[in-house]
Amino acid sequence: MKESILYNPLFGIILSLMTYEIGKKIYTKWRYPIFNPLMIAITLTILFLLKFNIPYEAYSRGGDIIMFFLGPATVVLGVSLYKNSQRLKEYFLPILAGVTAGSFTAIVSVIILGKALGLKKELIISVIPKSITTPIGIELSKSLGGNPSITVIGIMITGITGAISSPFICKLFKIENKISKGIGIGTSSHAVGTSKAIEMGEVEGAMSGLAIGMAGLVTIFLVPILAKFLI
Amino acid sequence: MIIQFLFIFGITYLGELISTLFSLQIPGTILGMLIMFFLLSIGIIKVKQIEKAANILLLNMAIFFLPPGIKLVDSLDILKGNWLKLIIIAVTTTLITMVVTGKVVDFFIRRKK
Repeated sequence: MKESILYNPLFGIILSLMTYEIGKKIYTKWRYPIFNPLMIAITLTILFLLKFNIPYEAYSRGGDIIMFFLGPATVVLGVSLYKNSQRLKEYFLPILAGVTAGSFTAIVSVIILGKALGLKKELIISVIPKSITTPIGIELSKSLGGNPSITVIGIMITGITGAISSPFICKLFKIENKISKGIGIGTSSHAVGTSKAIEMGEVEGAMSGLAIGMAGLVTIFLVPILAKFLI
Repeated sequence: MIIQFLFIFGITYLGELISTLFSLQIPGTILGMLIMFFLLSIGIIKVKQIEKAANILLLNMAIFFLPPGIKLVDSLDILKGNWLKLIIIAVTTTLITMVVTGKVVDFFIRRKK
């Protein structure tokens, strides 16, 4: 009885939609960036599952259906990109320079900070690909000898950090150009950050989406070289 | 609406297919994004033909990340005492990366003008 109720895909779907809606309500009410809807939804859902002792496998029946849309959502970033192709052509070099500098910074700062905090080598390696999109990050982590589960945790924390902090950081550091904002968000916090960039505006969203792909590729090239010298 | 999703799912599938067939390092969805861009650029697909479905997906993107976030429950034990350190590293380096990237793009755009 309990099995058939919990292992119905609708359970995970309803729980996800409800917690996300609550997150959105809280965010619209107080408008503090720290009340990020995604973070609230993740917290509420995890608490619910733990409280009622529901296994992840039950949730994921429905969760997987929601997650399925990540793929198509990434693909339609190509539409935003197309609408901005004039900008892309005109500013290709600044964009490439930014993504390269950003990916370099992401890798080196993780290694340096990881060493300074005395983390084990395996952990540092696993967190190196945390700024790029999950599928590339996991493969890269494996090829370096890292633990993909830790990589995914790093990627999620990174994404939520980007989604929460990007409006504030752009203001504080006077990153004013829409292209710079989008590229900065996408390079540092992949698709989760991009979901925030889309809210900021179409140019920001398109550029952030572009940066996900570019940063992923640049990182694939940079990591083997940098990891060899720094670890 | 159905044909709109048909286009989008079809291109997503094509991206996955190419990525798997040639065992590329680039994920299928990123390839799909490039294929979408390419097909729009050469005019095989028009924006109007997919825009409605595309907007639904784009504007609700954040919720699709909920399930992978929940998966963290499964890996709570792996990190043991290292949670705080990991959070410090992930948060700090993300902020630094965002500022460096944004500033570098800003700098080169300004120089161009």
